[in-house]
Formats: sequence, C-alpha cells, structure tokens
Amino acid sequence: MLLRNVLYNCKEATLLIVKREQRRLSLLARLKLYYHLLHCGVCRSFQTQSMFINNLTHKIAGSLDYDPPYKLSDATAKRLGAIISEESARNKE
Amino acid sequence: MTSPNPAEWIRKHGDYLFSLAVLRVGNKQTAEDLLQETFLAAIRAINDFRGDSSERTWLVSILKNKIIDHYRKRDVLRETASYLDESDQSFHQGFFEDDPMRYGHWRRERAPREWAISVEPDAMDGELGAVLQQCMQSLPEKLRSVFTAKYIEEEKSENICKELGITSSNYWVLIHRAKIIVRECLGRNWFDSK
Repeated sequence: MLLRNVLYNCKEATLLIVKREQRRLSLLARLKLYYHLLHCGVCRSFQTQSMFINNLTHKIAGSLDYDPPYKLSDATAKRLGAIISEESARNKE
Repeated sequence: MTSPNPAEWIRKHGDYLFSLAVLRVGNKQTAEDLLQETFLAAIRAINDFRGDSSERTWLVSILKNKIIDHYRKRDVLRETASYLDESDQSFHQGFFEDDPMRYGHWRRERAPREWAISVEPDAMDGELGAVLQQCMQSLPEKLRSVFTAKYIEEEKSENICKELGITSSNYWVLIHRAKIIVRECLGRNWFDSK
C-alpha cells in the first residue's frame, strides 16, 4: 500500500518531471519517475506539455530581440527620452 | 569600440528592455519605472562602459539588477518557506487528491488533458505566445518572480536562488507550482477550448 502510494503520487512525479528538465535526478528518483510514467498517462501528458511550455517560453525569450511583445507608448517614449537627454546633459557638466 | 549613445537608447532598445521588464515584473507601470531607473543608472555609469559587451547587453545587465532590487526591496520572497507551508494545503487540495487511497493523484477535473500540439513549432502563432504571457502575468508574485527568471531570462537556478535569497528546495517547490498553474492556464485558455 505504501509502495503504491509512493509510486502513484502524481504530485511528486510532476515535481520530478520539472526537476529533471533542469537537473540530473538521483537513481532512486529516476526509477520512481520511470515507473510512474509507465503507468500514468496523465503525467505523461504533463511531461509533454511542460516541455512544450519550455520551448514556447524559449521562443518568447528569443523573440524579444526582434519582435518585442510590448511597446512603449509614444508618450512614455517621449518622457523617457526627455529624462535621458536631461540626465546626459547634467552628467556632462 | 563604440561609445554608448543615450540619445538612441529609446529607439534602439526601448521596446526590448520594456518587454523584458514587463514579462519579469508582470506590470507595465512598474516596468516603466524600472526602465527609467535603468537609463538614469546607465548614464551615471557611462564611463564604466568598456565596450567589451554590446550597449544592449550592458543595459540589460543594469535592468536585471534593477529587477532583482525591485523584488528584494518589496520583500517579495520574504518568508517563502512559511508562505509555501501555509499555502501547501490549498495548492495540494486544488490539484491533487487528499484521500489516503488516492493521495497525490490528480483531481479528475484538474488533470491535464491531451493537447493538440502541432509538430511544427514555428507554426505556433503569436496568439498562443500572448496567452502564455498572460498566464505568466497572472501568477502570484512569488511564483512569477522565479518562473520568469528561469524561463524568460533563462537564468541558472543557482543564480536565481542567490539573487532572490531562497533555498534550492524552495526554488523547486515554487517552480513546480508555477509550472502546474501555467500549464493549466494555457490549457484552459487555449488548447482545451480549441
């Protein structure tokens, strides 16, 4: 029963899934997760979707460079521009 | 070596830095404030710019420090351990079974359903990205600060722990919860309704 609980604990399995994306797991953790995923389709979906989210955030992070999702409003751009030139002038004195 | 040209900063880097800041702090007003602080700090430190990195990289490094200060100043990650303890039960009960016979299983209504993920990642349009951005913004602040440091700034976990002053075990709990919530949000607002 105890073993069953350990092996079928989706909360723990999803933690291990997220951890494995960034770290090497201990042998015990790898075995647990392997066994869990063998039997749990829901966590297999979670695993796929978690990787998918990683790829998507990576794409967003990469696209900031050429296609930033948020734009400064004209008013803000103007205001910041004025602050910059004012401070630059002060800095040169 | 090129010397920095503040007059061009808004045009060349404004939207980029702004987007990075909005994604990190989840709020446009705060992002604008941080941007302003960044530019002022950069001008004051302009003689330190060595030109061995690009102007943009240099500005980003200043902005990143401002973001860390922002989270620190407001003590966003203060008492993370007790926050996690206190909210553990509601997180657990929200997503997972409590019953000893099914302890730790997904609750049926919260369990991930399959997504029709297109094989071609480039086929994903900006709309999906926008939904994900919304999902990240709506995370509780403690979770967002760590999640976006990892997945938008793509910072190493050791550095995130150091910068935000959290232990590595708290880091994993935060990342885990954030991932569960973001996944559900993306499912609910995109895949499950397609």
